[in-house]
Amino acid sequence: MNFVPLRARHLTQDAVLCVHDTGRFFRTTPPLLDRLAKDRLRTDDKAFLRDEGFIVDSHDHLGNAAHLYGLAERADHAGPLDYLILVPTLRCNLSCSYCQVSRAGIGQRGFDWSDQTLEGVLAVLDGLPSERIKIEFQGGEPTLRPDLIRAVIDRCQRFEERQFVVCTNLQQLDDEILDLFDNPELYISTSLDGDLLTHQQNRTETAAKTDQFFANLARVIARYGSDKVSALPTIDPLAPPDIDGLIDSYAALGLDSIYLRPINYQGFARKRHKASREQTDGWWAYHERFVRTIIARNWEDRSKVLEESYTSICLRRVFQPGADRHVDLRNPNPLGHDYVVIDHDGIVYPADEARMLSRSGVIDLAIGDVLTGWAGERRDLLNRHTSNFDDPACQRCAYQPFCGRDVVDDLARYGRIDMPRLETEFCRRHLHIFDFLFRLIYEDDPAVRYSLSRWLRLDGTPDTLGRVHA
Amino acid sequence: MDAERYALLLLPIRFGHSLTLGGHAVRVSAQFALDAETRTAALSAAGWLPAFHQHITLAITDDAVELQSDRYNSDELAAIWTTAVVNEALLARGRDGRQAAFEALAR
Repeated sequence: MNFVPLRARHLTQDAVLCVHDTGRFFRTTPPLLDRLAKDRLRTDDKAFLRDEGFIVDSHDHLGNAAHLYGLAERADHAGPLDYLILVPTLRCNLSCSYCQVSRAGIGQRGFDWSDQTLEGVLAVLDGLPSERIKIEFQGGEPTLRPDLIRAVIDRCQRFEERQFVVCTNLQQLDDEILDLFDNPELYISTSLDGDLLTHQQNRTETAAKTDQFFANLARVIARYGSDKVSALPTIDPLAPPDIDGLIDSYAALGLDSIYLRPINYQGFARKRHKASREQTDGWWAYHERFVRTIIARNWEDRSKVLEESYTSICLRRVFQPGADRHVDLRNPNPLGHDYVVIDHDGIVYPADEARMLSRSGVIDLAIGDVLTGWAGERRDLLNRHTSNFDDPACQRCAYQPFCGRDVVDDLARYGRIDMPRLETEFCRRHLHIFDFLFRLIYEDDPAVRYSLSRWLRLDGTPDTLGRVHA
Repeated sequence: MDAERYALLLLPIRFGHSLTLGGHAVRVSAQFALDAETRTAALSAAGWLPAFHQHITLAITDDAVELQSDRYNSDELAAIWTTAVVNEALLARGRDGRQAAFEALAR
C-alpha cells in the first residue's frame, strides 16, 4: 500500500504548500493537486515524490523505517527534570501595569521562600538525576534576595553543565548582586520596552527610576558584554512603538535578539489590558513589518544579525526539529516532567503561566509542592490533553508537524481546553507566523534568504530554502 | 473519480465582480459546483475553510459553494478552494496509512 501523507495550504494565487507528516515540504501549483486527487500523477510527479521521500510504500521497509523515524523526530519527548523556574520572592520594587505575575509590594511579608522552602528546593536539586541543570530565577524581582539565588547556585556545583538566568528589572545593582552576576554561567534577562519614554511610561514611572535602569543596563553590558545580557519588550498591541525606534534602542546596546512580545493576558493585565486576550490583524501586520525591517537592516549591515526571537524559533521548528527547547511550543507538550516552576511558597506548577493563573485566582493549576512532590493525579490529568495529534483541526493543518499545544494558554484566555482549535489565540498566532515564514522561505529575494539562513545558524546562504515541483 | 467531473468541481461556476472604489477592495465572490462524487470532500472542506481562512465567508446550497472575501481576488479564491478540497481528499485517503504509522510507533 502506498500513501502520500501530505497536507496542503494555499500560499499565493499560483502556489500551494504541501507539507509531509515528517515536516518536509515543497511548493507546487494547483494542477499537481488536481493530479494527486485524481490519482493521475505524471512520471515526473511520481519520481519527485518518491525520490524526495514524500511517498510511503508499505513494501519499502527502509523507507518505512525512515518515515517512522521522521515522525518520531517531530514528536517532543520529555527527558529528566533539568530545568527549573524558581521564584525566591514575589516582591518587586516596580509596579508595572501589565505585571503578569501579580507581584507583591516590596514591603509585604510572607512572599519570600521560608527556610523550610529553601531546604525543600535544595533537596530537589540534590535528587535530580540529570547531569545538567538550567535554572531561571523569576519573581517578583529575584535580586531582592541575592542570598537565596546564591544558595541555589552553590548547591548546583555538582552538575556537570550549569546555566543560570536571572530575570531582573535591573533597578538595583549593588556589589552583592554584581558578585552574583560575575558568575560566567549566569545570564541576565531584563525588560526593555523601547526608548526611554516608552520604558518609563510602561514600567519605571519616574525619570529617576528610568535613568537608574538605563544606567544599570549600560553598566552590565559594559562589564560583561552583550552576549551575557538579553532583553525583551512588552508591547501594548493597541499602541505599539515605532519599529525603527524599538530596534534602535536594542541595537544601540548591542542586543540583537528582540522577542516581539505583546502584553500577556495574565496577572494585572487581565483587568488593565483586557484587549490582550487576543491579537488583531493590526498586531500581525505590525509583526510582519517588524520582521521585514529587520531583514532589510541585516542586508544593509552584515556585521551583525538582528532577529525577532519567536519568529526564529518557529523557523527552526520547520527546518531543525529539536534545535530549541522552547517549552511553550512543543508537541506533545508534557507538563511537570522536564521542567517545573517552584513558587515563593514552595508550591509547584507545571508552567510559569500556570503560576500566574493561580495567583490571579483564575484556576489552581498547582501539581504539588516542593516538600511532598508533584508526580500525581493532577499532573496526569493535565497531561491527557497536551498533544495536537488527535485534534481534528490539527489533523488537516499543514503546520501540524511544526506546531504545538498549550493547554495553560487556553485556560488563561478561555477558561477551558476544548475550544475549537482554530478559534484559539494559540492557533491563530501560529497560523499567521507559519504562513508568513513560508512566504518568506519561497520569496525570491537574497536579503530574505540571507536573514533566514542566519536565523537558522547556517554557515552560508543557500540559493533556495524550499523545494519546488510544478 | 471522473477527471472531467473533478475539473468541473474545481472550476468556479460564477465569479463575482472584483472592483475597487476609491482604492478600497469590495467583496469578491466565487461559486464552485458540488456533485455526488466529490460531495463528501467538498462539504468537509466547506466546513473547515472559513476557520482556516478568516477573511473568507462561505455559503452552501444544494449544488454549489460560494466563497466571499474582501481580501482575496477570484483567482485566489479558486486556488484556496482547490487546495481545501484536495486537502480533505488526501486526509481521507491517508487515514489508514497514518493510523498504521502511529500504531507502529507506539509498538
